[in-house]
Amino acid sequence: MSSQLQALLSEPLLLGLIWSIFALGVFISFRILSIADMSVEGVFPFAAVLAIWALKAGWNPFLALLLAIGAGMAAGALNGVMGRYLKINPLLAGIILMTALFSLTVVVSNGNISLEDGATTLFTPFEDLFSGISSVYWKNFCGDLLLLALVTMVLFVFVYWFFGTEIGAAIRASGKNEQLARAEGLNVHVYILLGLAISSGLVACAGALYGMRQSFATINLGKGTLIIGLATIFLGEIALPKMSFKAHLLSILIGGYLYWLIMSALELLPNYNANYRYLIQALFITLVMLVPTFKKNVVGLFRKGKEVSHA
Amino acid sequence: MLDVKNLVKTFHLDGDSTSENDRKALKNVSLTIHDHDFIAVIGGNGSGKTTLLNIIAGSVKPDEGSLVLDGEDITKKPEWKRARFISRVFQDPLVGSIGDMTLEENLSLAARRGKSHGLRWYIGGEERKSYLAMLRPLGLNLENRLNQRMKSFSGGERQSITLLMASFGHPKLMLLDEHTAALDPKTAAKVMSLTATLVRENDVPTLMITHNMKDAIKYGNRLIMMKEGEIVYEAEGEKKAHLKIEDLIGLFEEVPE
Amino acid sequence: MKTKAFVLPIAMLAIAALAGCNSGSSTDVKIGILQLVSAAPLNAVNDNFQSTILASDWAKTHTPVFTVQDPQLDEATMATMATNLVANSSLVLGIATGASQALKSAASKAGSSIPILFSAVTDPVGANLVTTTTAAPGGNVSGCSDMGPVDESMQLINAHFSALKKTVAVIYNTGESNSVQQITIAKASLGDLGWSVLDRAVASETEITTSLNTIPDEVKMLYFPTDNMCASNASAIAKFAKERKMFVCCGDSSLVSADDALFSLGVDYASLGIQVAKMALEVLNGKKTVGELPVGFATNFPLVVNERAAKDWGVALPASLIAAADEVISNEQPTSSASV
Repeated sequence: MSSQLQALLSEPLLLGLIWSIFALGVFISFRILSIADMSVEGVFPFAAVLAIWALKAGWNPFLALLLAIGAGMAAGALNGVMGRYLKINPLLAGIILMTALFSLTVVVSNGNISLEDGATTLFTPFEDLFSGISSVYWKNFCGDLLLLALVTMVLFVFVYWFFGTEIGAAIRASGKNEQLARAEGLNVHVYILLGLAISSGLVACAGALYGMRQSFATINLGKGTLIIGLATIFLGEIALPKMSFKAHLLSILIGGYLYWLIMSALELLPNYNANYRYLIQALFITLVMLVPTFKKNVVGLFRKGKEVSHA
Repeated sequence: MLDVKNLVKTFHLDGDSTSENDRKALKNVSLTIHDHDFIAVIGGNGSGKTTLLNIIAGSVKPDEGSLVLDGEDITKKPEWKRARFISRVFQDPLVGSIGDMTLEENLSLAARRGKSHGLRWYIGGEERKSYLAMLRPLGLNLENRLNQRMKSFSGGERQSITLLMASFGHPKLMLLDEHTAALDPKTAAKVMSLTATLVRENDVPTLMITHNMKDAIKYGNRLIMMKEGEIVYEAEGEKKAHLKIEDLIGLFEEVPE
Repeated sequence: MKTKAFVLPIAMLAIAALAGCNSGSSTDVKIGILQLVSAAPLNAVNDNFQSTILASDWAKTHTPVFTVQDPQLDEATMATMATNLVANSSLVLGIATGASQALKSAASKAGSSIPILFSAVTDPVGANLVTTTTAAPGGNVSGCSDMGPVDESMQLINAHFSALKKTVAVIYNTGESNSVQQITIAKASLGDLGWSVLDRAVASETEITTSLNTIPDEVKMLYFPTDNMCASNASAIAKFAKERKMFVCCGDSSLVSADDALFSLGVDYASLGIQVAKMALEVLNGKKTVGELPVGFATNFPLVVNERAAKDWGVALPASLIAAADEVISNEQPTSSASV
């Protein structure tokens, strides 16, 4: 298999997993809490930079990951405080937080932070498990896949279980119908805060994993990532129209892989001009969002046609 | 028993300052709701009946006055804390339950009203059985649809379910906010009859706002008429049972401004 | 539903694979270039890199096929571009720190030993691209640093502009570690020379004008290092300086030539492009492996002075500065007393 095809098939799988974790976080704020949370564009790079900083400072890689997740959860909680208790418009609160985190990211990284060659990351022990494989490419791929698959599985199972508990159901109720939630005795502020903390924690986890795998991170990492998360969710919803919460979660994983497969394939086309990437992405997302409407209308047309012909 | 004393509420339409555009929703309203009371509240638009209900529920704060529930002053209590004792059915069937969640998830939410929420699974096997037992007598064939999302139910079905949810947990007071107003007459009648059944079987004090004067006369042991922020007429027991619609309409016009 | 959604990407895969399989003749050598963002100095490296290779003897027997990718600062895209370039090329060039790091990371993940050259990276050791700049670095990464003569630039200011109030305003992007480093050096030098520094750093382009506007009127000297954001916004900085009748010194001479600054003792990015192209040719010719090439530094720091712009702005450049210049840009043909 040519290295080109190799990269095309396998890299999206790994990227898809990392970005599925990111998208899971966005899913919680966007679909469950009905909040358009821009702070993810600040949490993601900050987490990446923080994880690398911790590794350079000698932290155990797993603890570095926990540190980043903790920072993300704190950011999410702060987002909740601003939106619910300080009564700042949630969209604005997210933007304010994103800007603040941008500064923190610059402070920690000075714009660009990187790991030395051969530094131990969370991926290293997993890659070493496969040292029997002669091809460095496949050794790394299998190791990375194992770690990412494990982490993704743990997180997705956690989210599925958590939102089926009483607290989880309370968070879902608070996000979907605040008025009724209050009438059913729920302290909506607290539940939304908790939901945002979990959402940002997941985004931070994705950021830390991304930074560790790439072994460097710059302050530009967050730019345009919310759209990637949303595109992943929408793509997944088309591929697997949700029947249940479980299916909805699964669809995020599918969406993640599909998104990166499509974007990678696009880049390989001759004459691909990266300047048009954002335009292509915008068109892509719009098309993706139109599919449900399109399906309804087209299917409706077919049904009508059938009735007429049998009249 | 709920003691409502001297409620005053003014809505400032021009921000917080007092101006001519202020609307005095409640001028000085006092009322006692006793155990076993089923009170029908009627009144024109702007009479203050919805504000009264909202203040009792806690979604609006009064400017003056107090609410004492079984001896406890709940005037300052936030809405979600009051929900433990006070349940509510909204006018809009879409608000009374969560469309994206299933029937059993909604019921389980109501079953936990006022209780602590932990990491237990949101519904157990025993619980499900109890829901089936509750849904069967309604005769709406809802017991086979526990796993369906609420948005696939009709308006009348949703209101019935919200009503059922509001009767959970022996509330000390149930508030019904024109809960049949958005339904067609046939469905509205069914829901009213369900209301009467639930109130009777659960023996829960109920305050019901209604636009329908027939229902106001037919249901409940007390009737209150409000006009421009005040209670202007009350009827109870025998007197109420013998009221005719013409009487009420006459009262609407007769009572001085 | 599941199957439908896969049709699109599979179709694209097929097209891409076909496109990829359409390789040309056997003398084709694919060279990938990953340029972080479009900015005059980085473009100069790119252009001169390609032209030097095309004009070389090696190109007489081989056909270089250049693939240039520009993620416009978007890191997520940059990563996939790097992966693709590494998979499809025989040699890759990274222009700017982030791009070079992305190429190195992609190659390391893929277990590829593809020769990677970097350019326009101020501190390659700090960026973990190489472990040393004083000897051959080994491995598969080397290149040219654009570390400029910041200290000498400050000496220059001190030497020729002592008539001014002894304060230099500096502007740079706090998010570019290269710039932060250069400014640290500049502040230290100026401190030693008895000058004070007014730090007007910004975190984003939109702040440039507001930040500059806070500079008091008496301060007449503005300096910015080799900073991508400043390079992209050089004309806005020049406009401000013209209004205030300030002198502008920068780290990149191509901006002086473009009338956006008055003088520069700095890195000539065109030369840098040529320098790194020569390193590439040594690898392409099979003479050396990339790890055997020590990191190159720009050694040629021409003092470029723009009299024409000074006249346009209404400021008078000191005669001593003009006399010391290697290249003076005036209304007549630019004269050059040293070849670049």
